[in-house]
Amino acid sequence: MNVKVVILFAIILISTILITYYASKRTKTAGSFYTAGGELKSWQNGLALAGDFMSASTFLGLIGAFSLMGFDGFYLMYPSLVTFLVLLFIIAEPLRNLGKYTLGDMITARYKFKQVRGITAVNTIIISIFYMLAQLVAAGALFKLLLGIPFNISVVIVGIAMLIFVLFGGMTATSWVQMIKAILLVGGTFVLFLIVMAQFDFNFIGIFSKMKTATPLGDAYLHAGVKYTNGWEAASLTLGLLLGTAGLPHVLTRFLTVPNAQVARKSVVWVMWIIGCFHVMVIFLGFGAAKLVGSKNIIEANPAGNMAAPLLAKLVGGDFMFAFISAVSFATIIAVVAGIVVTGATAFSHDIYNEIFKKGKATEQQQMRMVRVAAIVITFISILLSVSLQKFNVAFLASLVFTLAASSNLPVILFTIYWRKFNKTGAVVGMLAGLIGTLVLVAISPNVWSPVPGEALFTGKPLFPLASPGIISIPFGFLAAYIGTLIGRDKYSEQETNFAEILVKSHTGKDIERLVDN
Amino acid sequence: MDNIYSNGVATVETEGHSKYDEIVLSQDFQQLLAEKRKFVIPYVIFFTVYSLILPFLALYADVMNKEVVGGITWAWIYGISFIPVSLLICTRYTKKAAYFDEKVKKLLENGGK
Repeated sequence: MNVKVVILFAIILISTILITYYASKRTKTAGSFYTAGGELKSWQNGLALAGDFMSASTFLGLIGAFSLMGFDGFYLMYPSLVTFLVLLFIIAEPLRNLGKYTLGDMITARYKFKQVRGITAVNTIIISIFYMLAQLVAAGALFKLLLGIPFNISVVIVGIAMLIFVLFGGMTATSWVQMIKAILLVGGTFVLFLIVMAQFDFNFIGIFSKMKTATPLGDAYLHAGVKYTNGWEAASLTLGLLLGTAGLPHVLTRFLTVPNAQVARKSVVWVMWIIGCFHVMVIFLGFGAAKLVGSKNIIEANPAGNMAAPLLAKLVGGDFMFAFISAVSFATIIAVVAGIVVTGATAFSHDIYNEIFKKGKATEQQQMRMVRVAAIVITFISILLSVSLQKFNVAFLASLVFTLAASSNLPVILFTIYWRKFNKTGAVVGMLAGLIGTLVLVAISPNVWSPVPGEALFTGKPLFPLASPGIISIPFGFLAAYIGTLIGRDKYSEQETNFAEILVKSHTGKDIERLVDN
Repeated sequence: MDNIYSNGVATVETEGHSKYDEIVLSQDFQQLLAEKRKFVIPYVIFFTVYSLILPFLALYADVMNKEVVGGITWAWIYGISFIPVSLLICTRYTKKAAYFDEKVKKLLENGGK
């Protein structure tokens, strides 16, 4: 194993421990554990959002995708920028104005029913575990390739390193680790970008002509259709990524770590500029990897292309750059996993334990204990599952989570904020149908079924033709929420609705409470 | 989704008007909602459609694969355009949101009357 890699990994671990020490002194209450006390500034939350959102599949996956698929890499990339416009325009500010610690808080601000809170929390935990699986499987595969550490040990190392600072530092430590990781990731990418582009004399236009002959694909590399030959398949993938972020609990939680809607808004601006700059570099790093490393070597190291960036770093920057990019990947995965665990554990401790079992009367100590137990259990379950799922395609797991979030959470969030007639039945039916519908479509899709033996989990013709179910499952989630509302219409029509309150608060903020109470 | 904001207005079914109902029914608040709706909906439709048609255009419209300069085709320009277009829309939003903030501030000062 490379000494430089070990030293850089150690530096990252020591700095996270220092951050944890500082954060643990500020994490005295459950509220500070759940959402860092809601005190973050916009640049802090913007960086943390970037750190939260840019996972290993963003960094390694996108560069790999551009290096191997050329133009088709775009379908994975641009929706993850446009998705922040969805958050900015319709979700971020109402969420900050209505929510407290969890998504469950926001939904139950309108429907004061325990079932709604319970289902939202369970949904959050399921999505969190799925997303964590995608990250852990990526971590295992990555460190096996990078450092020769066996898969199972890598997964356990990542899990434990993350747990240490989550347990002591909660959301404060998680946020700071995410901020530092975002800086390292964008900074490291920028250095690599400069070194690579120097090899092309910084000719951003000339590089395109060079790409025509750089890969075995020839001219086709620069045209659509290398990977996605069906427009509906590509559009379905795009739709899932476009709407998925707006339903991902760990991303939504980040808007509850700031004091008000204005700061929530400004943090989206921060994250969009960071990711926008990052995307420019990704395209050219993909080109650089294809041209300099060569697609044969990239595929040999990992058929999905995940090794394109580290191999490129090694080629142009030597051992140090390779070690640095490996360490950044390590920090990336730890930071993302931490955000997911804090979100999942908060949903359990705050929504299920405190609000449902203890009727909101659990003490600070009880909640602090429960959130830590939940973090350990969620990590443990994810580690166990990821060991058995190590052969699964990481990109598929991650895109499945986005589609799950977009199909089950997003319809309910949107209707809660914007639709007066929406009711409890609609919320329950919408969430469950979106969740189950997506899972069923995946279970009968080409991801799980292949006519060629050994290519997928089962041999046979897939009943559903698309690998990404988004284009069906997302409208289905909305439709289910609508039909559920119609079914529950008679039961809840008499009931007093507090939609006026929701509407006023979501547009004006919580300050209105003081005004109304006087 | 055609009338997402206006739904809150239509009727107040409950007997006693709460303070929130009063605010919702106030002219200032109604105006705020109408202006927000007019601003938000076209943009949301635009960036959703802009995102979803690229796969179809890139695969099925020959003109997208025409070269503009070097190896750069119209499809690449479209793909890269997401970065400046998204940031532009983001900037537009923050400007408009500052204007809405002012409106909300006035609304609160007037006590929702």
